[in-house]
Amino acid sequence: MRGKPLGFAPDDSPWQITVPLIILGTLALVSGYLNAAPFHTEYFHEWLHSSIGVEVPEAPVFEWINAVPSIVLVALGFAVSLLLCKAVFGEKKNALQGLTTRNQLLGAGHKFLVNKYYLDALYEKVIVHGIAHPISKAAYWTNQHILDGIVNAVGKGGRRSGELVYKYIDQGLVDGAVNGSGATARGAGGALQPVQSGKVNLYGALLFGAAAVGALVLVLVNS
Amino acid sequence: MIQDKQWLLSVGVFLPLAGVLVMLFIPKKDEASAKGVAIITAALTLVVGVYTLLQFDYDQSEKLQFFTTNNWIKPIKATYTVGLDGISLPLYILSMVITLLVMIYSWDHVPSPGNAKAFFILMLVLQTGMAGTFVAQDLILFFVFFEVVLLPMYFMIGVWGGDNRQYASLKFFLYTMFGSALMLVAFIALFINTGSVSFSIPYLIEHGSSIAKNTAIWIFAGMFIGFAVKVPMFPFHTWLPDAHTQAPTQGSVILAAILLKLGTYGFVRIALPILPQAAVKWAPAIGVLAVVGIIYGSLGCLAQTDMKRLIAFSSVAHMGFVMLGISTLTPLGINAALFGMVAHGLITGMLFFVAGSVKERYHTLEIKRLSGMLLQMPRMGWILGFCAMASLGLPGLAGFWGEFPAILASWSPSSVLVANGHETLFRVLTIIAALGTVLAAGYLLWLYQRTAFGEPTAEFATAGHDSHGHDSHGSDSHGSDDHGSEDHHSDIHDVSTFEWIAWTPLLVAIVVFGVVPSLMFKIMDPAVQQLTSVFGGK
Repeated sequence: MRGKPLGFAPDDSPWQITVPLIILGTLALVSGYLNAAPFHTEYFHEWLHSSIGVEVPEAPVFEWINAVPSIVLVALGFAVSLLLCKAVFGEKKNALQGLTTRNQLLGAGHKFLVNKYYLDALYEKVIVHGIAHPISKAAYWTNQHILDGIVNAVGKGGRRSGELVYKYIDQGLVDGAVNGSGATARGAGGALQPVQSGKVNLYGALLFGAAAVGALVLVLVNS
Repeated sequence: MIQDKQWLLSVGVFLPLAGVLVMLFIPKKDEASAKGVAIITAALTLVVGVYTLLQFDYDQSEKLQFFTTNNWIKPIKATYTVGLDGISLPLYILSMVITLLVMIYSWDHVPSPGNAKAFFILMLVLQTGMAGTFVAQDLILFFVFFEVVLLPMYFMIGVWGGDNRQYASLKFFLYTMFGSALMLVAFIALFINTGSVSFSIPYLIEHGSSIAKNTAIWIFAGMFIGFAVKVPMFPFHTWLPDAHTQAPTQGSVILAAILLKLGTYGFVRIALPILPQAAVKWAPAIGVLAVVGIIYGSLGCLAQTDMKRLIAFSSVAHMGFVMLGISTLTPLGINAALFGMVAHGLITGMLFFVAGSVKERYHTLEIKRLSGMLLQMPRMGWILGFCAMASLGLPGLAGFWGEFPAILASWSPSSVLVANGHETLFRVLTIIAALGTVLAAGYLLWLYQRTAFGEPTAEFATAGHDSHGHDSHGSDSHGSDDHGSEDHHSDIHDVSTFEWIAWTPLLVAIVVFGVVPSLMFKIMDPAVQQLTSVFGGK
């Protein structure tokens, strides 16, 4: 143990933790081979295809020439980290041990790695607090004040138009005309008194005549 | 078209109205009888639905089955034409399942101010409208059913809703009516431009492509607005958060699970097949608006302080994925869209159920006041976690199969879109939509973390940790948030029996369709292949 002594005695994990870890570890080791193009296994692709039931776009053809450099790089990285681990954490005394405390530059590099390239901080402080929150607030403000503002304005505008139409056109103009025509009708009623003879067939004839005149007007207007 | 058992769909659609007729004779005070009759009616309707499932010929799911056509309004040549194919079957059944489950939930959750009889009648009328929309094969009949759902939902929000219910219900009604008006004008234009012969959808599919391109684009615009308001697509979505937030739980569930799908279904059933040439022109715009909706809806979620409003905004984002799938004009994209509709119905329906039950217990949905749900109501907390995972598109649960194939399809849109030079645009949309899934994980996990993890907040800390669940006898409270929550601590209990009965089928379906998505894809695919053949397949 190279850090500060712990204030408690660490226990080994109980089986409830060990067993799931073994299962997950095994799956992590083998699951990649479910869709390993160089070994011609395409179980994932086939499963996806059969699950969806429709054609899934084909994956690009695998070529070793593209894969070899990455594999070599990974193998090198693996070997270097293994050697480093042995040197730093091994039992044998080694010049590498404590190097990061002796050399300021390496110490800074170590800190950079310990903090996982500061990606978490970048995400939390910059993306979440600096960008995502203000953007989401701005988007919601736009939603409530601009988009919904337009909707509410249309609604209010509609109601106001209705009030204006009612006040000036319906009550002022149309109703005025109706009231005017009422007065005319009262006058005409006196003049037409002789026609009110009480005979139903005469009323029918008048109604038919009025309808005929109306129909004629409609035909003339539409022709 | 298969003209077998022509009575079946009509029985499935109108049986709920028979229940309404019986309920009219039940006294208002006899709530148990009213609820019983309504639930039995919904159950019988589902039995008819199951029988339909059994009788459906899955080898010919691209054909309209149980097809029947009769004269209806002769002077305007509107017919009563109904039929069911692989596209409409899942949604038709979903509407029946959701209505029954919502009614079971409502047995002991009739929202304030009560009146169970009227509340259950409205749900039955809604069921007729929803099922009718999915089987209608005549534009006027479709329009009538499409509008029938408006009125019951208006009353559900306006009478049984929250404090701001009158504003929300009026906004919902007027906004969707505005869209419908333009849609009706488009339907009439379609009728006139195909020789004023018929409003029948199969007839219009046959003759729609003869319409001049520019005219078709304008007609599509009318339909686009009508359907886009219903979906709702950005920027026509602002009625949705208000309607959801103010609606009673049952209204929110039905709204999310079925009503929103009427819009997306309209695109797939009517707009795309009847006006394919206009669809190709509109597809890029639809794709862009869909992706804007995904990001915008997700950002809206991140800004929310109310759990229900957050779920409402998530619908804008999720329906964006559905519309993205449709805009690709590919079988994969449209299959994904149809799957996404059902998955969203199951998952978001469940989320609204949970939100309703949380409100009933804590008398608030303010996220910062809710904490430690896993300690106080472990089962409810786990269900919320499960639904949040499903909603963010976790593989193995239903939500994944709506989102992932839609994103995949947008990378390789239809050949006709590629020929029009839109491939790069759609690939950009793929990347932005994929980023949207990260935002979805962000807001859902953030919601879950803040409501379920940690210790209960001080104001609710002394509530009993009853994890055994017991039936609640109260009704939903839609009054203002009660800060003096001391009196309500006794309301905090785990999932009740009626909640289990109502929720279990949805939870099971989310897993089953997540693990075996081909159950649904196989039914939809032949019909989708036929629909997309006009766009060059792929």
